[in-house]
Amino acid sequence: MEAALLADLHAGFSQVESDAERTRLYAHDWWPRPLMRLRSGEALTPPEAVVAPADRDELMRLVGWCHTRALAIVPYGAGTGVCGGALPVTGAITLDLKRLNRIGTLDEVSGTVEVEPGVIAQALEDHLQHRGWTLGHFPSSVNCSTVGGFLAIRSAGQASSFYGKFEDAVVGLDAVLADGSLFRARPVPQSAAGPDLKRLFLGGEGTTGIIAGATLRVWPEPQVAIDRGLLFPDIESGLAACRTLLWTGLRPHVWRLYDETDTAMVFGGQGLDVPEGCLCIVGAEGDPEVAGFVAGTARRIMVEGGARDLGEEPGRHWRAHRHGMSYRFAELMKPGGMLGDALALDTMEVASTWSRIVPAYHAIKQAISPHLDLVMAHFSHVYPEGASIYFTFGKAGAGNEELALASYDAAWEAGQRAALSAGASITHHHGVGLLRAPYLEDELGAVGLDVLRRVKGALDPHGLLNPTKLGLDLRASP
Amino acid sequence: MSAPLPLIDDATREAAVHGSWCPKLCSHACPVLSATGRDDAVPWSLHRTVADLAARHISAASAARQLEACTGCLGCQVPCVFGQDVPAQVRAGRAAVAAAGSPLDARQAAVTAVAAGRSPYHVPTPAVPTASTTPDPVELTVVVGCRDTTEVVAAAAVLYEAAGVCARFVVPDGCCGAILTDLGAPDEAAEAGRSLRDRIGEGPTVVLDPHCLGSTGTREAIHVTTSLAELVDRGDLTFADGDLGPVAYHDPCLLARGPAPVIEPPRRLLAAAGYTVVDPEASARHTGCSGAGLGFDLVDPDAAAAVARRRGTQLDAAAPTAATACSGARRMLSAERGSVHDVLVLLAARLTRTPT
Repeated sequence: MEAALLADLHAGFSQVESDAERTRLYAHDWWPRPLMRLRSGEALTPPEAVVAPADRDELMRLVGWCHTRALAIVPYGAGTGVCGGALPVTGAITLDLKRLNRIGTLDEVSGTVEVEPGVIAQALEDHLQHRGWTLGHFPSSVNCSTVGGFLAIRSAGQASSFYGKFEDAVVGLDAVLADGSLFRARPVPQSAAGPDLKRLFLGGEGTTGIIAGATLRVWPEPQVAIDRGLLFPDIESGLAACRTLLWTGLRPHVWRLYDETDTAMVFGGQGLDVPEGCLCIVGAEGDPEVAGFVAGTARRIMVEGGARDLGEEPGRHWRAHRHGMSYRFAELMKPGGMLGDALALDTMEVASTWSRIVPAYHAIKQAISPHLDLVMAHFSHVYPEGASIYFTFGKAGAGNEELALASYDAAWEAGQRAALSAGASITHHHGVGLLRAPYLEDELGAVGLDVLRRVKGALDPHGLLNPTKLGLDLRASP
Repeated sequence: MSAPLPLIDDATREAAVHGSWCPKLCSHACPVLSATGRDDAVPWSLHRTVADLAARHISAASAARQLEACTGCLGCQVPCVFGQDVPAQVRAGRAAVAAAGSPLDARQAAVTAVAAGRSPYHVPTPAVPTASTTPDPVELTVVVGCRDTTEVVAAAAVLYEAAGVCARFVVPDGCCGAILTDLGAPDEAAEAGRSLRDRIGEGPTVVLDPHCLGSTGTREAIHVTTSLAELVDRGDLTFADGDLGPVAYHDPCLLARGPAPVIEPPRRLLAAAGYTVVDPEASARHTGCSGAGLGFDLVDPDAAAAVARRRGTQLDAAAPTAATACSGARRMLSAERGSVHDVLVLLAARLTRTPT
């Protein structure tokens, strides 16, 4: 970045940082690949400048200022995305949105809340729960990620089977366009006034506009949560029972089915005997009578489908430790981690229709296993027509970071190609970023990608918003 | 790679390295981040800075700027399954940058003030009640904090006298040392602590300001509300009957999340004095922060005020009257919210037996 431009940036905005020893904190997000490079001793390139506007007006002014100077922008929330969507780009500023952190009106008649993008999601949840409400969005990153980040990648929480994905909670949306103007989708429950323009920005990962605020659906805080564990003999019977349950019209808040390996990790991790089969966790929340009915019906259908009822204890344990794997990340991935140096570790979530989900599971597992030491998966985020498969995988590099990276890359390439071949999506809720950019054309099709690029071209003709991300421009991927 | 800086010990460095590989899972609990949106306030950023400083990946001057945004509230420790002590790492980092010639500005000012026997907060030295200066025999030593006011000290004196306890009040020479530790002056803090220890002598000790519990000079001390609650429980301290209505109680961070949490005693005292204690949003172990800790109000007064404003809003929503048991919190919250009472002052006004 030219010195004069940087000087103007410093002079024009309230919080600008260009000291590389400070901007180094923005050199990566939580995509494991750059973290592995960092662990190997590589110095990751920080952004040339980080700007943190104080409010929406300054955000609009900044984006407009960048537009007139053809200066690219990488939006950054908490830096916890796992696909590289917030990685810095040469010649671009990084836009830290955490100062836009106001929680606005809670409309307790409509059940909506206004929020700015920089609010940490759990902070919003704490605010709501104190007032008797909940967002119902509980991904394992809820403690660390921003509302804006969740919207930008179309996040899903552990209770999405009832509450929906995060994008489904959006009632109104504000986004700053590449020229600094403000797009506003008024908060209305539904509309038939043409295509839903909010969807141009949800999942856009900051490439089509910068989310500046949202009106979100909230729910009365559940009075009860009833969680139960069941054991199916195999994944096929569990998935079949899930379909039966969903087709009754009932929606459990939580439905998760672990494969045999994941089941062994769950029980073994507690020092318990590992049973043969697949653990299923079913949770129902809300009004006691309604939740009791859902829980009871779910139990009946699961048992009729071949499950053995394990009672409520596995459900209680799941709820108490449901973010536990994220807390283990540092133990595993830090230099000298508990599984040794140079561990490759990641998750891959895809989605498939019921008719294809079992073949997709086997195909992906078979494709990635040769590159890895451990592959396990669970099925969750269920819909009447299908579900997500969430793989967790790792390979102990035995101190060889090059081997770890090669294994990591090979596993992703094999897994994504297998998912596409099996008719699954390449992602369910982590987004694309840089990680999945090479696979987007096969996901969307050539015409589909062209449509997306035309949309991008119309909204951001100079390609200034989060360049290289979302598979829209592969030329400059770091 | 260079050797670690000498003042960051291995355990602290390893904890910081561990934290810098954690995916920021305590971010929601940071009051500075919530109030200001500052990225350097994310506990992960502080871990990373201390780790990078220890490994000499960043300069001491740069690290000093990046170790400002923490109030030492330990809010981030509550969700942490590893019990990470971020403030301890920040203190170590601040000491290291000072040793490397890049101290925080506030550190130098505080050291100078304490060396001259003045409060680093520029608070006038509170008057010690005459009746309490030479009790015989001394049953209790009360350590006065460097942000305590004459009003609070007088209230404490009245309460102990009403309970028949002979209390001696000790005002440290400028500071007990805790704030010096917080700002990265461990040697000066140790000296202040030793000086205070010599003046306290033997016997039970209480502190008025929870921050003094971090001083080496008051290692065995308890907080004044714990002591007074025991007197109420024994029937030695009684208050007039009455219903004074609701009071929102702000749990001081260092009491609610300290090594020996003090959560119920202040509530019991207020209830005994006729108040209906209301817990505001974020209470007890999950208490919000006033911005008063770890010298944040000296290091970055504007940001500390933003933290206090946010907390003040939560207190406002709970009840028209608010109280706390920390002079630092009272000072910060009063500046942003209007009057926030010290628990001792409210109690002293409700005594049934006025000391003679």
